[in-house]
Amino acid sequence: MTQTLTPPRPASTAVPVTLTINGQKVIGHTGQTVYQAATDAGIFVPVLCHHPALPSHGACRICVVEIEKQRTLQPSCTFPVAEGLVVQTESPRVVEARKFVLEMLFSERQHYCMYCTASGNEHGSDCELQRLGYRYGLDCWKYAPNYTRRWPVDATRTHFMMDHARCILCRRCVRACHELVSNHTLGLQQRGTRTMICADDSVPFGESTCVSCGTCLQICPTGALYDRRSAYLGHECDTQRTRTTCMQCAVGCGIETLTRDGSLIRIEGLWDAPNHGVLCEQGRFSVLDEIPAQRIKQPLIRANGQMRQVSWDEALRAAADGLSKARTVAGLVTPRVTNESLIAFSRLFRDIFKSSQVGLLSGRTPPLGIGAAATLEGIAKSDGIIVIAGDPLKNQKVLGYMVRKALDHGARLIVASGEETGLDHLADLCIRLDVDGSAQTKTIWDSHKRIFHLRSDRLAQVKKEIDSLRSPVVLYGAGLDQELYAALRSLPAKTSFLPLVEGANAVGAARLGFSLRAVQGDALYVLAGDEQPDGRTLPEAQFTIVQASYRNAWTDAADIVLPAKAWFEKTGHLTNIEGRRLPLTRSIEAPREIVSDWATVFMLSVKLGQPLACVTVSDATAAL
Amino acid sequence: MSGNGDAQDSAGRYRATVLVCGGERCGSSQAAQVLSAIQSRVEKRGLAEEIQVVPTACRGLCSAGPVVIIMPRGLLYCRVQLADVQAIVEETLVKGRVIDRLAYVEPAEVQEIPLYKEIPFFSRQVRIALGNCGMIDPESIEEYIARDGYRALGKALNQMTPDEVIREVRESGLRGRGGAGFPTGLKWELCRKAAGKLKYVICNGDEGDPGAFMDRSILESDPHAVLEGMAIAARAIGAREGFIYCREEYPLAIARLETAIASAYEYGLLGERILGSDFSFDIRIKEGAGAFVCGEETALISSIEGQRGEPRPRPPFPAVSGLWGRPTNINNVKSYAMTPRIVLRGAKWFNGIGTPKSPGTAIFALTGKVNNTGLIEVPMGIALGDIIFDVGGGIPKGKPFKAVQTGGPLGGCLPIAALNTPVDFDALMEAGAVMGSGGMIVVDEDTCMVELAKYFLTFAAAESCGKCVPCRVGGQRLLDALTRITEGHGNQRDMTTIREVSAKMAETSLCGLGQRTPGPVMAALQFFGQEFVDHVEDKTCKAGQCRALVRARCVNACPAGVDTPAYLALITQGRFAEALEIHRQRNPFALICGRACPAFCEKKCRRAELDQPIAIRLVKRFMADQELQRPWTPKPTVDEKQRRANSARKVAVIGAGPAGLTAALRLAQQGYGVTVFEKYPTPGGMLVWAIPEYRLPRSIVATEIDNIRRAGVEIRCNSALGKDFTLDSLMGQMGFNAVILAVGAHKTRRLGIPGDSKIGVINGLDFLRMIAAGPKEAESMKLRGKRVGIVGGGDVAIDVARCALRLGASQIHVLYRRSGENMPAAHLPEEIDAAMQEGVQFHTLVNPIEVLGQEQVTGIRVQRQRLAEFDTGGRRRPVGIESDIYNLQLDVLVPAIGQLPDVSCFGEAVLQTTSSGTLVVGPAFNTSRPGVFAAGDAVTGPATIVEAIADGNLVAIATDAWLRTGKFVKPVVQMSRHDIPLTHVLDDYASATRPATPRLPVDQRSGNFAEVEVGFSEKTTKQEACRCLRCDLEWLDAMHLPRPGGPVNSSASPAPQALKEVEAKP
Repeated sequence: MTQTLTPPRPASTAVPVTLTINGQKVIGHTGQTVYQAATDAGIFVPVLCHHPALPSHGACRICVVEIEKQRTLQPSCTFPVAEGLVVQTESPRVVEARKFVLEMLFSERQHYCMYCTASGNEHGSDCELQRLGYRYGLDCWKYAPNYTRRWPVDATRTHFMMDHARCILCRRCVRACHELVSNHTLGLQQRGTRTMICADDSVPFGESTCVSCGTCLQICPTGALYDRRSAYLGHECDTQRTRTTCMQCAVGCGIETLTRDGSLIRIEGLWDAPNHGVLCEQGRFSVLDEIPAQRIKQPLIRANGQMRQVSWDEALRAAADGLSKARTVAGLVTPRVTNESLIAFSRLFRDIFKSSQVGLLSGRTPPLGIGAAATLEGIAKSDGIIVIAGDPLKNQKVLGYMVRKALDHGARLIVASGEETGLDHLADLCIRLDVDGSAQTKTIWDSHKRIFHLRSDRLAQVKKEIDSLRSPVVLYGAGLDQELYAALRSLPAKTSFLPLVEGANAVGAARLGFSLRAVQGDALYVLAGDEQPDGRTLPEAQFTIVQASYRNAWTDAADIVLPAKAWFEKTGHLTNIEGRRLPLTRSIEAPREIVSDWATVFMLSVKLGQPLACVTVSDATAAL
Repeated sequence: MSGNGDAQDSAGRYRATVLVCGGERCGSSQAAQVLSAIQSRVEKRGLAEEIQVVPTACRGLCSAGPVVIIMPRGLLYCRVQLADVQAIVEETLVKGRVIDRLAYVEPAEVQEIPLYKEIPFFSRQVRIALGNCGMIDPESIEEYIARDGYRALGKALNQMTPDEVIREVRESGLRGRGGAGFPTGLKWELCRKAAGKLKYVICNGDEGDPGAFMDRSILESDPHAVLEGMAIAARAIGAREGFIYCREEYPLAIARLETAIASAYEYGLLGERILGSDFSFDIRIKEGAGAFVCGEETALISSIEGQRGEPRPRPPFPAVSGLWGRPTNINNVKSYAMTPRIVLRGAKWFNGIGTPKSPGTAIFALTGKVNNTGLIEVPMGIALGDIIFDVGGGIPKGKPFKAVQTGGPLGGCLPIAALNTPVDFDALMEAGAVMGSGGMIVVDEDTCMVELAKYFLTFAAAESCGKCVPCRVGGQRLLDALTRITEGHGNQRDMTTIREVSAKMAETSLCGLGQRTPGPVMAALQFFGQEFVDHVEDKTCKAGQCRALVRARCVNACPAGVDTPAYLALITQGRFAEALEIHRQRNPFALICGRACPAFCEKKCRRAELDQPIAIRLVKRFMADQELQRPWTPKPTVDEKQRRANSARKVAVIGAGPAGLTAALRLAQQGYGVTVFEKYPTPGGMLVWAIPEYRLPRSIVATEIDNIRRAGVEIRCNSALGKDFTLDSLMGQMGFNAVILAVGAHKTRRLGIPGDSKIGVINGLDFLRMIAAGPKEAESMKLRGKRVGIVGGGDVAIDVARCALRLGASQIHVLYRRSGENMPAAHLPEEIDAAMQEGVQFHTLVNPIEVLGQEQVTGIRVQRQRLAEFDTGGRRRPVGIESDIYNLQLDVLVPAIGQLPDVSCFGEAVLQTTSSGTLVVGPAFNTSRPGVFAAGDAVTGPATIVEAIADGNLVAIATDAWLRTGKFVKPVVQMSRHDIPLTHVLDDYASATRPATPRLPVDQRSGNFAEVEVGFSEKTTKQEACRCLRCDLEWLDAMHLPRPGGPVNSSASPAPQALKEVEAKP
């Protein structure tokens, strides 16, 4: 809520204009609103319905200003700047009007601040309405609030609630649902004072088409929408915020973590990242729910069928010992690690074990670099999207939202997939791919055997469609057959491509040669991090080292268990689906004994007697 | 040009054309059956070849529908029923006779006007947009073409460039008829200049005002005019596509539009390359779901786009970025309908009509309390009063006009003072209302302006889209405040809320709906602020509409607040003494009022809506007469302790009229020592010195004054203020603690014309006093065989006339300068009737300009008057017609043109007076001198007995409060409430009617002063009382209070507590 956006760059046709705000000369440019010009100049103008991530709406009227030659007060969030405009943002007339708007809002529903989880005090509050109440000195209810009417609370959604009594009908949530997520679930019913935010045809939120992305929750200016997990855990203004990157999938959404006293309270999307504040349910909510309780804080060694806590020194010595004895060493690494750790891991196998038996624990990655790389923003603005062998709405949700956004702006959509996808019903053309290979897989990394084929007549049809588009984007998944792959490569140059990668840093891993493949060796070193087995089994080996954050089936079967940092404790870099290098910043300090993944690898190399060169950021960047 | 054009243009081969208004789906009449009946009758008579029967759409005169017009004669028949069809065909069509009973009757006149063009409803209209309405078959494109249809489009396409079209429209001065009045030509030009290849035109037919149907009528009656106007606009701005936004609730309009669009395509007037030009144009209909806010152009655009119908901030304006972000021109149905005429006949023709800044015509849906409700088109600049009284035919039942709401629910109400306002965009705005899209609702005195404002506000608040905070919440807060006020819970904070919220809503709301939502309440506050004060401070609703404040309309209408339903209920049970006791709580003069009260209660009686009002006055008279033999000793109204405390103080009342006597009684009942000083030898004031004996016998007055004496009041006659004592002496050596001036208004206004002091000029009150003084004095005027002229139209004038007649005058002429229905005495129509029966001649619309004769009056020169603009009282001002002067031979001239209080008696004590000579008092009846209070006619000017009694009650409360606390307290009439059970079955009296008033035969009245009215018998009285609908019991239900118990039969014993006055707590 409190993040600010960097101002958008002026359009190429923009012309600078000079206006006077509160007697101060301000240079703005055409296409700007008075609010933007004032804000850029550091002049505070309050807003409630307006949010920089959303198009101007002009509903709440709190941002009204006095503009010379205008009969009535004008909303600064919609009024375009013009040469010579003379504006007053805090004149007595304006202040009176703002107080009136606030008094109206406070009288409309039940804004009993002291009962609200978003309430704060004059020094800081999570509620934008309350903050304005303090700013404009509303110390009493001028118009009696509506005591008699009951306003419903909707608690049918898993992760967050809606208390209509605190809703000010600014429609930020509705507009976010439409403009940012393109989910079109939220809407308004009735009119006048009976207006209510509703989902679909007024069904409980939990039964609606809501995808629980939580963008509405993040954008709500009051305590109307609140997060079950972080409610009653104190005020947002007392938390620490850390800008980092989401590690739940390869999209790499910019996030901000809210932490207090070493625990994660909430995750919010970064407004100034390409995801524009949007996250998916997994990235915003589930990830917090899924943090297991049983943390591995110290190395463990199996002895007499029992796991025993040992010192790092003892564990690493035992590990080096075991690995040295093995003829072949195989390695598996989760894509949820930093580039820096991946390099260390790959060097360990390449330089010390001289082993090629290295693969990914998860994350199927299509071949990269077919043509020009597409960006998330490019997708949202594209006029045609072709999705082949993948389901972004399932596996790269925020990317899926961008696809829908493009459709809202009139883009065409072709979906070619082996099975039903979430985008099928939106597609102008929906094609089923023929599937070769076994869909039945025992371990998850067997699924790479699936190969997709597109009949040539259908292929021609798709090509024809693409020819007619201005800026087509192809989203392709793994498992395309040779013909299809070659066809994609031969598409016209205006086409840009985005691989539907699975796994947070799978692109980084792929660039370092890691892929989802079966590996084999006498000894097995698994860098699992905070990835969970989810029923998958590791390959058989005589000696297994598992480095993991939490106790699970894999660690239970291992000979040696080394602790690892969880995603929110890591610092380093990732490479996302677009190929951008994204920073990962620790939000919480790891327990004292736990070190970075690359440091573990380094320490192991020392015990093996062949210390690796230390991995630096520039190292990693160069390697990629 | 007027659209009253002749139908023979299109019907040349027929001998006659019968136009039947309405049509299948007209909800207001059975036009369809009438139409088919005429058709079959014409065919049966073999007249089908020579007589054409055409179904037309609305002609506007809906109150008189179904309307049948017979061309070429232009005969207009109203309220035609199936039974009339035979006569129309046989008498009019075959034999050419006019059927008088079907002819239109002008409400203010008594003469039938059969000809269409002569009816004021039509003759004052100029029909441009409505020109074809009711004259053509809207489903026939041929008929439209026959009346110059699509000629303007042809001209615009092939003889004019788009810029020339725009210039023509600009020069015509046409302003948007949707309400805002933005210059249409300028709008087109802006849209034409806006960047972008794709542009749209939209026709705004989202008409949502309650009671307004201008757009619907045009769409239903002349859809092609709208299509043609849109095509011209599209050509001018460069649009390829157009939308008509019409609400789904107008199925007939949509059906007719669909038909019209289909025919236009068929004729190549829509579609590709229209009329061989390079212009192509398509029109689609968008059905709106009936949201008022969708009439706002940006909300309408959202709605067409498939979004929620909510307005968007402007700028950008639709001319720059409208439908789907493209330049868009939106005009109202009426604006488009006027466009073809402007293009065809030129800008000069159009701006020759109306006013310079608002050329052309205005279309209104005239509704409410007006005789001719319906649709009208009048030239801009016509006075508001002309619309209401000429076109609208005035207010039904001759009730006084109170206000007119223009501009629909977002407009404002204008009071009497605005009747001369010229109707155009700017003048209405300046007057405090708006033009709006054309709703015009007339209200009479029975409308509560607070309630009306609340009604409009309820609509506006319900129709708020809910987008912007000021409108969504502000509207509700206003409504809350108004609801509290109308329910009797209002306080000053609500008034502050209304003012503040209104001002801020206007300043901060997003669209016109929010900005104008406070309009009606602001206008009501501006022009009818006193009504708000009445509701808030006094908890009264004078109009009798606010349920919680009005127990029964009769009680509410009575100035003294007598609990009428209660005493009527007791009378039904024969309990006259108890009934009288209730009456006396508020009005001690039941005998007098039973004879001479104007009975405001009867005028508001709800039974009148069924048949006739209850004869409350005559029932009361019987009740009072029953107890005539039992002298009444008024009982104290305060406890013994308070009485003793009060008895130390003395109050002087000056004037023994009804106000003074009532005040004296009330104070005496509270224990004060009260002395009444009366200038004349007999107490009673106007009761004895003005009202003649044949209306109010002296003995009756004396009986009731004796009651007052029995309460302990001392009445000293022949002692005059200013002569026998002064205010100073009263409050000084005479030792009075307070003085109440109830001196009445006994001075007659002078005529103020040459010769008004000649011998033989006797002013009205002097005349009546002479008669009251006794037969000798009366005879001294020597009226026998004389010609008596009386100037004036009030009660005094009528009393003088009838007395003069009784004294043997040979001719009585009453000269009144306005028309008959404007006579002040018209509130007692039976008095005027009786005077006419007795032989009094009335001359109306004449004004005396000179008294003729040397020293003695020989006659009077009078000038005929015509009625001009409206005065501040809402009546048309009489203006002399210069050349129309004549003489009337007279022997005696009695001016009776109004009375004033005689302030000379106050002497040194300077008391503030108004310009009309009445005393100025504060809210507590306090004069400028502490301790001196004033009430009655001296303050109000000449009024009625019951108003004087009401004043007497109140001044007593104020005086008591001042004497006890030293503070000026505004006295308020508390709602009087005695819950008397209903003991008979109301249904038994469902068909009972009001008995005639028994009067002495006319031949027995001349030459004597015997009481003219005779009174009811006991049986009649009881039966008449049984007709009472008992609104008071319904009020109990509405207030969720228990009804008084008791078995429903006449033998039920009275509940003793029933007579206890219950404090009214709504």
